[in-house]
Amino acid sequence: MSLFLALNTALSGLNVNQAALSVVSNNIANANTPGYSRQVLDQSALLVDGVGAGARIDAISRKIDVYLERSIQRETSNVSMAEKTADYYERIQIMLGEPGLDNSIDEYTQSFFNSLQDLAESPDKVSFQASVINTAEVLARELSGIATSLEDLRLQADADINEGVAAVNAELAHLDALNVAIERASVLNLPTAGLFDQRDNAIEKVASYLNVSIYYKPSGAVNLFTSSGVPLVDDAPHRLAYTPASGLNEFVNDKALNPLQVVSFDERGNETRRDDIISAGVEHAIDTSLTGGSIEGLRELRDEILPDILAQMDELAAGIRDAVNAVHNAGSGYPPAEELSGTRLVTADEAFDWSGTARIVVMNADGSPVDSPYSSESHTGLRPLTLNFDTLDAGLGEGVLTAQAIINEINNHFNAPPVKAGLNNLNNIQLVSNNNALPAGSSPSFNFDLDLENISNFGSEVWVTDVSIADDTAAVIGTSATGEVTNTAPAYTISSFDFTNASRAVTVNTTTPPDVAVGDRIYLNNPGGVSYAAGTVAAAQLEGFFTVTAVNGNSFEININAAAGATSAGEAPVTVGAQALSEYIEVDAGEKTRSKANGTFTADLSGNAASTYYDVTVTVRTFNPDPDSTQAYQSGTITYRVYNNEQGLRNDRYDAFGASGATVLSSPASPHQYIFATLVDANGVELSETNGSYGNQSGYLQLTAHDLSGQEFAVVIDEGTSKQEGKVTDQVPPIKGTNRGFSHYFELNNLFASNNPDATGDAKSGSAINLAVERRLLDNPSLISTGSLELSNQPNDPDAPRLYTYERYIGNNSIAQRLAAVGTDQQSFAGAGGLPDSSQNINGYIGEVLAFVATQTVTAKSSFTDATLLFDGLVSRADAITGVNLDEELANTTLYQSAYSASAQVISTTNDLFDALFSIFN
Amino acid sequence: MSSHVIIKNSAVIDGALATNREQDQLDALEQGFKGVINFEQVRVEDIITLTARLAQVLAAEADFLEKMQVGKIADLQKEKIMLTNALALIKKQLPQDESFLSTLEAEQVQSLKEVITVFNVILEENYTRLNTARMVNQRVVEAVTEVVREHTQQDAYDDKGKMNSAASESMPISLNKKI
Repeated sequence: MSLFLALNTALSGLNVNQAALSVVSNNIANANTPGYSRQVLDQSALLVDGVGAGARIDAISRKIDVYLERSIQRETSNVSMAEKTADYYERIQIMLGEPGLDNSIDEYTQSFFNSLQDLAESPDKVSFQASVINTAEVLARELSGIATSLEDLRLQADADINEGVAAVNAELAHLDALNVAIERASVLNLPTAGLFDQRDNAIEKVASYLNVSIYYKPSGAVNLFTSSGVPLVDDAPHRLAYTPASGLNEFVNDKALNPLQVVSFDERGNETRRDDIISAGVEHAIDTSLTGGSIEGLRELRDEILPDILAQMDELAAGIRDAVNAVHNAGSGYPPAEELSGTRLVTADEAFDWSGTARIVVMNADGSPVDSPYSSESHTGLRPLTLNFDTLDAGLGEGVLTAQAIINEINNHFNAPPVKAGLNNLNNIQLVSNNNALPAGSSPSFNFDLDLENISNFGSEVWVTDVSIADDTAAVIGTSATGEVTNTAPAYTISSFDFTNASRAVTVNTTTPPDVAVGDRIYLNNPGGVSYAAGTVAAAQLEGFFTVTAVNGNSFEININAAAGATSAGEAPVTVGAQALSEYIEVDAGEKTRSKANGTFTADLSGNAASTYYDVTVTVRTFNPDPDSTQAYQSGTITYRVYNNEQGLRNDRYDAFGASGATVLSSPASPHQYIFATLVDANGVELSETNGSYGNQSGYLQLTAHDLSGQEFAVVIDEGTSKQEGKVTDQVPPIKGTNRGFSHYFELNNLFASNNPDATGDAKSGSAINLAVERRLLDNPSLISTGSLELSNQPNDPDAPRLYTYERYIGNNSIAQRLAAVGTDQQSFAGAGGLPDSSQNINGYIGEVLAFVATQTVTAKSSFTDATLLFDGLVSRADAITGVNLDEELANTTLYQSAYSASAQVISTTNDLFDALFSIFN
Repeated sequence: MSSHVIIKNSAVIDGALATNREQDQLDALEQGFKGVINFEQVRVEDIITLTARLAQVLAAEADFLEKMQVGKIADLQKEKIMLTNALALIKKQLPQDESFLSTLEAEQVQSLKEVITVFNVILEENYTRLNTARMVNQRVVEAVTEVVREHTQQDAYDDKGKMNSAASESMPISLNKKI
């Protein structure tokens, strides 16, 4: 060994010893400093050409410590994230409460349905009505309160993110300064351990907020990057930038949140670039490049976990609201309301597909029928309106209806005509326009059908035999006989009749299969002035109504009034040429029916296209309503005056202008209108009309029941089978239907406010936060729906059969019972916030929501515990500072594995044993 | 609650052991139960004794793990497995032993239930500690592996001018240096 080498070896040892002394002293001084790690000096043999060359500080030790440190920092991020998640989940669970306990959602829901149960038993008890509204309000308030609190938690998470950003920025500035100090100490060969501790402490703090990648320079200075590689600490300064939400409404209204960015600066402090580490956006649409740290935990809470639970709350609120409203709209309170104001904003000329029927009834405040102003209806009271959505046509096809068409239909019915034309058991026969304007088309014409109302106990069978049209000079310009008036009613061409000797049975052969069935009654026109079957059957005997006795392919059988004679079997059929076989219109007892389904009439107006008006005269026959009667049909003519050059005529009814034959005209004692259907603005002011139309204006449907003198009535709606089916016709893509009935769709009689943004001004639809009881019910709980319409006694003869007039009886609890059952009825819940689509009752869904949150809370706590244990274990391991002995670690791995396997065996064996023991004990 | 606290304060476990066995029998437990446990005829007190002893072993293991006294848990594994096997034998015998149910006394059943309750708490704690120790150990080994890999691989240009990762000499850490 050379002298130089020997001296150098000694110096090396001395340096090490001095450094060791310094380290020991430093350890003592910092024993109680948080984050300070005990420093050790590691020595290893320093060899030069295989010869001992003293000792040196072993950099390897630091390297492994660094890796352990990285592991700890990674766990720091995980622990911080898990801690935030667990903490927030615990708060969420406290908000929702535990099933069955006071102040939990299911308790409030149960109270509401219990109060409805009480109401079902005594529907007219004021205290019970008030109790329902009170519990409904509490339920709405609590659900809304929970939703608000959840949104507030999102706001808090957002504020916490902002706090985290400030804290990270402080540490980034600190690390920038430490890097400079470490580089300097490295160059000057000054001690760096204390700086390293500060550095590690700062890194750990940053890591607690967001997971980072760390790169150590040879000097010990560090570069920090986000997990997506965006620099946080390097040669240039970088800072996080975030503008938090300004308030709760930004979350409630789903406003886009600002991005979290890393802003980079040059040496002069000028901004050079911005990189998103969390994108701008709304809830789940927000992207993040973070995978750990409290900021990511808070973002996940803010944008995913809390919105998911809110989505479940929204679905629950919507489920309760829609199910209750659907039933509530099917009935009325007692006494019924005088006015029903919709809360759905509709556009007058926007068409949707509808089906089914709904009934609107005007009644007195005590629920009894309003007297009809027509003497012919004295036994029935004022006729209700049956809205037949299947056949109503606004010009876009049957069932494709605008709000305007529905409004017109209601007003047409309740604007009682100055005269009604009755025939037999029909009390009113009106002509209905199928054109929107007159004259229609390039060749002037008018298409119409009839509106027929039957108030008897028997069905009515009606057919039209003749139509003629006269101009304003009384000159006939067209008739059905001459072809100017054409009929689209179904008819078949008869090719021949087959007769059987000495039998009344006649086989009618048609050119196409007739759409008739055994038992149907059909009408045959007179086939002509000849006799058949060797002169024994007169043509007149083949005219009129006959009952179908058999159907076979292109023929059917009837019985005529006289038997054919002098014919022999197999006689050749007699060809009679083309004959019309008409189907008649059936109007069921108590119904009002448009004849359109059985055909319309088109009058050619070209005979005098400039006429001021046209008188349309229709000859109508009705078969005797009593099937046991042998009385012949009754026939009458009714004339309707249709004015030329008018608009907005579609579905307009024309009243009888004149009549003859068996037609009976009946005039009201005074002109009446009982319901005014209007479209109003948010303040209840009717929108302006042009040519009787609201055009394309938007408003809310309002039904007000009073007459022209101001006398108020009540209005009750029966949803019937009505259903709004969206917009499928000519709509790409189709708009999904609400499947709501007429009243529910227009939200005329809701218990819970709709939360429709257009209606309420809320920016968000259907949110639990906006769940509320309708103001009119808070003001007047007696408006709560408890009962529904029932067939009424005839006002003038209570003992007579009930005849299609409806009444709202006091004590009727049908709707209250249905409302009470909503809580236990199965209903569909859409998948929300991690819960799948399901069909269950409301309490079941609440249980599912609570269980979901409880499970997530337990999982979050468990994750936090696991992360903490691992973190503590790593710290404990790192603090042990015995160094890493690879052999020992590998031995430990084996040992842990064998202990783990043994414990697994313990678990398995003891589980089996204990199960067996408990089975024996039980 | 840590297992350390549980075992120190577990009157149930201590009582169960003291009631059912004398010290010499407890000593015999560690020698394979010869002459102590009658596996031909299952007795409740045997189950209580074995379960309580196993609880003690598991608690001790959890304590050592918490203190990172890894070497000491090796000594416990043999007894842990032996006790488990004994309980497994009893479980196997149980359905065949009709006299077991008839000899049961309410007090014994109650004692057994109490021991099982405490045992389950200790078992859970043991599992958590053991699992954590395994994960920490895994991280340390990963850290060492990373260092070794980093140290033994150097980027260099090869004779064709391409960047290659060339392995360098192994590092002293493989010689089990204390670092």
